[in-house]
Amino acid sequence: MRCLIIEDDTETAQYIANTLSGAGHQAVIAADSRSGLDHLSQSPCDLLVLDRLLPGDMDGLALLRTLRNSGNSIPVLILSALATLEERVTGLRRGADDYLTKPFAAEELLVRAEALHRRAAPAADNSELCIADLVLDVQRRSASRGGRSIALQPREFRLLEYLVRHQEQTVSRAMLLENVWDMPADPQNGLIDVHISRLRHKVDRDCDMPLIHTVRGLGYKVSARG
Amino acid sequence: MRSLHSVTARLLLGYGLLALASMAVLSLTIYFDITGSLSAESSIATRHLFARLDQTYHSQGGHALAATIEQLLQDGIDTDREIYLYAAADHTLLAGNLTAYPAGIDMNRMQRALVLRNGLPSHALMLATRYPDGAVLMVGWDLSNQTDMKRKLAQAMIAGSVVALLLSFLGAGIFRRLISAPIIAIRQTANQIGPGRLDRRLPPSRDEFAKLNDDINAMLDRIQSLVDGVRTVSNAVAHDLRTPLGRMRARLEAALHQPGCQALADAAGRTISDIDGLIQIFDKLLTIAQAETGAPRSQFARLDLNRLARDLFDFYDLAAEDKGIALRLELGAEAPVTGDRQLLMMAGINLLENALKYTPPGGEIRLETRLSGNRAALIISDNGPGIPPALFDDVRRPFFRLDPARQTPGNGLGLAIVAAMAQLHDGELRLEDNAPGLKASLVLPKA
Repeated sequence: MRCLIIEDDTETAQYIANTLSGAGHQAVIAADSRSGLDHLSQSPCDLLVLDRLLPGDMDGLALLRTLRNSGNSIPVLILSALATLEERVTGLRRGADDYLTKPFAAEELLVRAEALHRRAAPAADNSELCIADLVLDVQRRSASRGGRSIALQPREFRLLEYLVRHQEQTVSRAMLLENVWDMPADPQNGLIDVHISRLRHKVDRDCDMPLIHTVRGLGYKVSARG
Repeated sequence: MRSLHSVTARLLLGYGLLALASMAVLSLTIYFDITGSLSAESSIATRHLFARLDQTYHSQGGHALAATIEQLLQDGIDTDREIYLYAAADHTLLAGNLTAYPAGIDMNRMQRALVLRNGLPSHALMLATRYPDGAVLMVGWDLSNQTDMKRKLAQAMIAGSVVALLLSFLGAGIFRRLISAPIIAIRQTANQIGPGRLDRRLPPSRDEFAKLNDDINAMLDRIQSLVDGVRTVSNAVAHDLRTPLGRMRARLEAALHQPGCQALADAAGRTISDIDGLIQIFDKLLTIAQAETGAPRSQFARLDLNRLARDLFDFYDLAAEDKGIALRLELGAEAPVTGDRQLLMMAGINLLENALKYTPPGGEIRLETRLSGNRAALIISDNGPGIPPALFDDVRRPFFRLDPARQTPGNGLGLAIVAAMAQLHDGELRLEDNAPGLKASLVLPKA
């Protein structure tokens, strides 16, 4: 994945670049909006990591507006020190695809960047989702494994659906909070882990191949590769 | 006129009394003037007629007097008011228009008396004299017209007072309209500014309120610049604090991934958690500060408190079960409120986290919604140790801890956040003793 990082703080920019390149992605740094826009117009990118408070006459949101007005739909991950819910909503509303606040964990950034990249890939017909022998009927909101139906509560189904849609991809606890529960901030008490362990009990019980995996320090992943 | 304390009511009372008093003075003056001149007129007329008839008697004798009286009663001038009597010594009527010789009339003295004239009783002014031969001459002036006039005057005065009173009511009403328009404008602006719309200003005016409006607007400018200052500062702090903390965190994370000394790695790991903890406190303070300036209302929408309660329940029931606590959901009637789902959720999370923290295993937490009148409430009650009622106000303050040694986990911001969110939503956080335990209600206006 080719990533452009627009960030004026050199050390932070370098840290982001190292994180992304450490996972095998290409990363280019631009220190202000103008040079960032120049770079975008010259070479195609798969993801833009954008700071909001940038030097010069164009801040991150202004750059985003310019970009979206010109029809560019590149996935944008805002990375900002402006951390209130209100700022977050403003960022997402102005066309960002995800919003991460500083300071951030490298893994969280990586997981979200990769999730955005996948989301940008065209989605298949999603009326039925499956991985290995697990099948989710999105319309009827029912799940079965190896032909045996799994009784799930609505919120358990939402959690499993999100994980399966992001299969073979790590999702962080914060992402689950935001996308499955629509919760504001991480209450930091392992609530997600409780939900996952309950779900795991229903999905992976009595199966030789577990599908729900814990990725230490990062989050969870639904994977058929073990 | 809502109460006696309203300016309009006091004005009405004052002007009403003033109007009545001036009406009374005016009316009484007119009344006494008119009645005075009327009675003067009647007594002059009586004397004049008497003198004329008396002279006729002295110069021409009784027959001429009787003839003059008959003539006067037929001349068509004041005949309905003139009263004459010429009687012999034995009170036989010789001429005049009295039906009978009236009793109790003193001689040679102007007096009021009730006499029978043409068969009808009438109040009259009477003057009488007895001649040496015993004959009596009485001349009188009927006063019933005057009585009538007095009655009409009195009626006119009462009517006038009533009209004056009604006019002062009307005047007060008009005054009230005049005065309340600018006051309503001031109140509307104040009501909008209270919850955070700091850009509102009063319209310019040219009346007596102009100066007041200018002063209020100047004060609002000042408040707005202060609040904007707070916002700018918190953004700057956000940037200048988070960026270096971010760098520190990044360096520590990088160090953590290098093979090396285990003790250093442990220290790095713990420092990262401390940094995350600091940022959390900082975020919470920022949230409280912003809610208190009333700024983040942009995401307000109509939402169902029941739905919010159900989402909270869905999120927390497993955690409660894990702790051996029974979490019960009791939903009331549909409870629509206006608010920001995420912020209200944050308030609910803080209340539930508190309850979970303090309720011992085997305890019970109830998550309820209740609708009463125009208020909708999200109620979370537990049967843990609770909070001493004397501290109900203190616990809403940021950083206040029940445990003065600050040994228990947390930072004393939970209830402060809930209180700030309640205030932002024009509601309140109500704390009660659940005997045992705490009952916390987030009470919001019903949408």
